[in-house]
Amino acid sequence: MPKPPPGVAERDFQAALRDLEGVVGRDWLFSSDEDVLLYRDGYSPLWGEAEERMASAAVAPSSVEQVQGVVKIANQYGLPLYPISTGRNLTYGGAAPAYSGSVVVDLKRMNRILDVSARDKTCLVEPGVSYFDLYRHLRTNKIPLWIDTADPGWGGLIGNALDRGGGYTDIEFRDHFDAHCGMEVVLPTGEVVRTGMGASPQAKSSQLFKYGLGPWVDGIFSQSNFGIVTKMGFWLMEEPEASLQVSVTVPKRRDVVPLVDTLHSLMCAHTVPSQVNVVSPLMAGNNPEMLRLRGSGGASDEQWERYAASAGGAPFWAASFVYYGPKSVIAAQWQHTKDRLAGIAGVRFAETASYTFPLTDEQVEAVADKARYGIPSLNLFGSRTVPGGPPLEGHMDFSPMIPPHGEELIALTDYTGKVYADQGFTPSFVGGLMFHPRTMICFHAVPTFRNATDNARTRKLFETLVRGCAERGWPIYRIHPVFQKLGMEMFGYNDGALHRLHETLKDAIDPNGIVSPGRYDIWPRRLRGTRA
Amino acid sequence: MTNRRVFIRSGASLAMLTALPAYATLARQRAMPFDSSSLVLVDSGLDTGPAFAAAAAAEGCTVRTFNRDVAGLWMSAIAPRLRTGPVVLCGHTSASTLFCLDLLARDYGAHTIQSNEEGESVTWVISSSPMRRAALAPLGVRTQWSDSDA
Repeated sequence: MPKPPPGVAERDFQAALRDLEGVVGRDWLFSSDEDVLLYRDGYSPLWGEAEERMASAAVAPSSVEQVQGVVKIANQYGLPLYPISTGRNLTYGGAAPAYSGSVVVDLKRMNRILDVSARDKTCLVEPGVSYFDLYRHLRTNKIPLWIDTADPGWGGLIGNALDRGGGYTDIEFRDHFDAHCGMEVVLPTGEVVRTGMGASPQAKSSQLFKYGLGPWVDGIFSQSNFGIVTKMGFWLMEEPEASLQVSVTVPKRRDVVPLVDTLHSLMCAHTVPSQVNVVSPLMAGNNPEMLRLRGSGGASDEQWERYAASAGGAPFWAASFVYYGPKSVIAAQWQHTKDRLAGIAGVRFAETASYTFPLTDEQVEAVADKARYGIPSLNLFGSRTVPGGPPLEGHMDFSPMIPPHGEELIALTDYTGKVYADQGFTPSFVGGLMFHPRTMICFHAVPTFRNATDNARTRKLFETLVRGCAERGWPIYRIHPVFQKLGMEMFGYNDGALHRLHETLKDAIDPNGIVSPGRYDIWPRRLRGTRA
Repeated sequence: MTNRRVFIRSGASLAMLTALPAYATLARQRAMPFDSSSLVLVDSGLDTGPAFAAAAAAEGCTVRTFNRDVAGLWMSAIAPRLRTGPVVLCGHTSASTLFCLDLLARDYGAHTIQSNEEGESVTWVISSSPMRRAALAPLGVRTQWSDSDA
């Protein structure tokens, strides 16, 4: 049997479990070893070690009232809770709690799609609604709206938005937290609050105007532990008439500077609507010479150009993106994009896919890059194997954020390439993804293992990357719970003033410190001394 | 492209599937023969996929195919089937697909009870179990199995 949470006596834990069973019913309380293992982080960088984050039990409420009941019991017994939406965030900790011994509050049973308005292009969902669920609802009911899905698409809308994840379609929708409008939260005291216009009981614009009146508090419920979100509204994209997916390639290393500057300008002008990927085909794979150059951390442009010449003239950088809208508008946008980029010597343009909507089921199956069309997919898992190497056992995402400047992308990949090489790892893929309107995220995969020796190396690599990139002006935007203390230390301006503010809020909102202790290094007063 | 070698390999995989001790036990106890009520999932993008699918269909199984990405089939067929109660799913897919399906199926109290990897493919059985409770498992999962079941 799992052990009770730290500081909770065994008899109190058993009493709490009995009380939880009284709230949700016997079938929805999970307290056996086998049950609790369902909430283990399969990609944990602490797999099998004493510090691995493990739940003590799990409970699956089906309503706001049951969530309130769970919260009441947690307050009574000092039981730490860890709410999850669908728990599929594998590269950022999955369903495992940030604080070992927590009782996972599995919100998957709260999976109602409460409202979809084709006219207003909005929806209101519960936390157990996955991208799969909403996509299927829209398709089955022939509602001409798109979701903006994470990739892979098996996660939940609310969970992904609250951890500030992103997607691939139009700029208004792919910052998932920004695309939300209104939420309902069960506070750690058990009180239910609605934000934005939803706080006005008769308001007809609850999912239309984000701010309501007075301070806009929604942000404090993202990447935090100030409550359990039980409803959330989202803005949805109207299905376009057509789309055109394109790629732009440039031959030289420094071409990425004008390439990114121009594409970012076009993105800000809404000429290029979709997320833009800027990747380096030349710096992919396991070519020994390429890895040597990357590992040196300071190879010159000339050295890279010589390598490029030896690689048969493959382009140094490739950008891909999608236009959505009427065909005539798309044609004009694409032509304007080409005109703006024509000044880069050797630039090449290609049209890779075009569609007219709605798609038939057969056409949907044939779409290669599904997330760009609001279609949830699991195709990403097919790419989890390193070419020519053994299958990855798991990985974490290291996600530094840089300005949308090509020279920063070069500098960051030089730095991380050397760090990986110095610590005996094959460097991760090179690319900048413009999920957000004013930045690029340079995702790196950091492998995790099922043995302590290799995971110790992985943790050292990850810590080096977090510190080193922050020192160079590239802090992370999201991070695995095991490293959230380290991550928040990188946001320590004015001797940690932001962290103190978080703790002030925590003390006020969660006086008994029961919701997700330690998430993003926000500890309740009663646990601040341990910070386990 | 299917050739004789691929066909034989897929036939061997299918024979192995029906001989899997776990599957045979389940089929006997639960009166779930390897027939039209069983759902067999096949990745047609694998070299052995088309031949495996043909062999399973010839055995009277309900075969559903997909090409590399199982998400569409999950939404349209697998998840709805899992919502109805105890289930046995068999498959011939990539390891990454099995990884995804195993994790998704756990929400319904099902998990991989046996698998066999060969090259790029893996043949497997996913089954509901009374020993595993999960957030979305129908109530019936826990009441229809004996303690000796896998």
